[in-house]
Amino acid sequence: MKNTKYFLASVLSFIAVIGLRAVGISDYYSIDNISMPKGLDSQVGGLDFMPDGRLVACFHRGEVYTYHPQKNEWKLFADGLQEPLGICAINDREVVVMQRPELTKITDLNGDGEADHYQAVFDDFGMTGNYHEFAFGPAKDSIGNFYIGMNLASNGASIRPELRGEFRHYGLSRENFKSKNYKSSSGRMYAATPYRGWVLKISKKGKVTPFAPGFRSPNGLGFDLKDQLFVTDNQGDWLGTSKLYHVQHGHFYGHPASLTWTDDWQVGRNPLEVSVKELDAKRTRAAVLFPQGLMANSPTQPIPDSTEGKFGPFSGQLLVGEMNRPRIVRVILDKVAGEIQGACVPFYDNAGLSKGNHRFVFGDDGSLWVGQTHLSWAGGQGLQRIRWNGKTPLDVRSMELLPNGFKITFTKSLEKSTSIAEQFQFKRYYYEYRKAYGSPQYGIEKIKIIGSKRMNDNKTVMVYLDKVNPGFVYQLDIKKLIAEDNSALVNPLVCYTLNRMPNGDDKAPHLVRN
Amino acid sequence: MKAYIFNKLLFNAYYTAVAVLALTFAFSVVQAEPMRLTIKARPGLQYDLFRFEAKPNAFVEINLVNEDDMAHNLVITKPGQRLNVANAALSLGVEGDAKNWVPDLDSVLFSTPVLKPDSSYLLKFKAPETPGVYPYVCTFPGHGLLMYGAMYVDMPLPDLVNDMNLPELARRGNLTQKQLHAWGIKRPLMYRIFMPNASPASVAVALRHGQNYCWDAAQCRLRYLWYGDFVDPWPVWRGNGNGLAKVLGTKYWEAGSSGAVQIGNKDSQAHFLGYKKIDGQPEFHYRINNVDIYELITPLHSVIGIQRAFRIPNNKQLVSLPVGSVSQVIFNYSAGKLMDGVLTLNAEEAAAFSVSIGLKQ
Repeated sequence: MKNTKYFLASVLSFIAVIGLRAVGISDYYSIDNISMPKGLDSQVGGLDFMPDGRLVACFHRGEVYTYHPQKNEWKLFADGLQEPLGICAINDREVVVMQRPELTKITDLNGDGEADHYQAVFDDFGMTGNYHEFAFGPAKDSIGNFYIGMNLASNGASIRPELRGEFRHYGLSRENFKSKNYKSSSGRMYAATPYRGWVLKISKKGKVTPFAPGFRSPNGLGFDLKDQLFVTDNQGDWLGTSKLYHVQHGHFYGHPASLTWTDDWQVGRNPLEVSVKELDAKRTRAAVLFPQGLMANSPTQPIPDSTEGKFGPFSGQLLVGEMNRPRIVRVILDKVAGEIQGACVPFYDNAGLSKGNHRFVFGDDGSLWVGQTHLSWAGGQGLQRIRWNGKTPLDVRSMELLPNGFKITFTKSLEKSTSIAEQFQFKRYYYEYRKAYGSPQYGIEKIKIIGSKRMNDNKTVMVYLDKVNPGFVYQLDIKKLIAEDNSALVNPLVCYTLNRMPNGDDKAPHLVRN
Repeated sequence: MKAYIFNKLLFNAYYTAVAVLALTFAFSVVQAEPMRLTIKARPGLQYDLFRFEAKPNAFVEINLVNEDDMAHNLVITKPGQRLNVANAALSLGVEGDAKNWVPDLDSVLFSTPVLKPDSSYLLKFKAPETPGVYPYVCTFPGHGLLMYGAMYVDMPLPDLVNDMNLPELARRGNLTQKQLHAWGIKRPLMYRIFMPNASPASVAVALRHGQNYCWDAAQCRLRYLWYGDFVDPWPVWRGNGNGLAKVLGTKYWEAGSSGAVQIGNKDSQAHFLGYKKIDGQPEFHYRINNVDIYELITPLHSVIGIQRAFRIPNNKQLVSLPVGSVSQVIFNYSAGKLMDGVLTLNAEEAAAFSVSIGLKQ
């Protein structure tokens, strides 16, 4: 029996190596593929549940469908939308959808299950017709205000002859945008109409507030259980690696193109020519960095585990989708000197999960519904459902910064003989804040563990390091870790973004090159 | 779906060939067995069979099945008479329904009655003796420009792509639109999508009777009209949106800079507020100078064209509508005064009025 088990394990590890199925997460979670309407391009732009238990989803070609999970029945609710990338159910007859040109409230007036009324809630933002001007959200706060994210245009294409909204560009006239070499002056990503590169707030009464600038491609807005807004952004110009921001009113998040639409911006001043130092002083750093190639390349929607334990031991934490590989990332937040920063760790890797993990919603039963898309980039399509089987995986539950190291708590007790010093490896590095597309890791350095301590519950360990400074990602690789019940650690990679020390010190001049 | 249709076409061609062969064979044994075929009227103003061969004097039975959601007939005419017959049908006007939209002309050889949706009719006739290409056409108003095919009597069949007796779609070997949704093909259908010659916030609508229009949600005005097939959205949908939908069919009117309602004397920005679907067709709602305007565009019944029905219920000001170039189309209006290309209405007239744009044939 033991031999068979061993053999099976070897086979499974082999399969894991060739990338089909990892050992680990599938011992705790199972995944189902949901069958989709035949003939539908099932790239999912948004997911939510209506109060009556029907799932509602919007798709690439403009359809909105409802899905009855018990009856396994799809029904068309609305159609004709332009690249909808987010949906929020208001009640059993009404949804709010973010589509390219507009935030739209869609209502089934006569109750036949099909929408008849499409109300433009908000469309007072610009469009140049550039393909990259996606519109994301809406995320809803606890009061019912909506937050949306406006993508920048990409110099992969120019602007179109007709626009919506005011035109304003720091380097190019509308006429110049027609020239072949518009790219040299447009900026890699550009904001030629309002409010590109912004997160906007639309109050319940319809009042619109330009909430925060500085975004590049904010394909993921979500509130955590404490009503704090989190937004992901994608590696590229001005983003050394992909990020998760804690977004607050009036803060600037780093991509300068959007600054041209701030009230006090001097018209004609080119934000791309402002010194990086000045921009760095102005910006709010990301709460969590997702190291490119290691953790995530294109992060999507952040969603808090609101299941109160029905989805496993990570209640309250954020999960974040990743487009480029079959992965969902988990975020472990840490409040340090009043500001949020924290770590990310793979949560679900392979084991039947598709790529292109784009939109999420939790069902009442605590299962996680995952919608995929690609929009011709890396990704997938379709809908999957992940369920927890009730067994607790061994994983990092929390990670808190200490003045001289970290306090790390696991989901269950560790085997008593585990040697922290032998099994834990730390290194650190940073990503430059700069105009160029992405940043390599700089200052890569192994960090010595100078001491460790286990707490009595055997779940929590203190790890003391010889260098703890702001402005670095601290990457923890755990070689081997066994729980008291003999189960192995599921995810051995943890990346903590250290912006600020417990004493409030956040000076990190190395992030900007002189 | 595309492959299916293509196979179906091949199958039809095969069926016809087999039928003709069988017929030839049958003639040498017994004479009476007719050549039987089925022609379906399909959504998008199309017959599913766009050409067939018949021997001179052969007995033919066509089972016409109407699978569309509107009325159709099938009229076989003398060679080269398709458009004449279709236009004569149009001019029947109020008499049309009673005559099944079949004009009293020598050039009409055989015809079916007008079939309601989901009904069929067996048309029996003896094929002409004279070799030639005999068109068949739906003479229901507005259909004849698109909905036709050809019976080849003792004439060689040209290659499909070069067969000028067939509608353009048939020559492309693609009788129907690609299936792009789970529901197949339907009209009315509306897409908010990137359109050529309009703002990035545009709306494309396919109405019944093969009518299509582009309406601009950024400027709240009608941009252009075309008839026939709707749009190919693939340049937008195949990727991330870096393309424009392609207008299929034939454009016959473009607004230029006109087409937007004005309230009062001053120019004012229109605010798009959404739309309500009425029988699947959007009634747009927008606001100009704080006045609510509702606009519903529907197909005209007896000609190719559309009607813009406006409601401006709570307004005390003068309303004007620059109608644009209307010399190339049949332009009608229900109220107001048309001067120098601008239709002007007082508040009372503007509470409910309509204008129509029809194709001159």
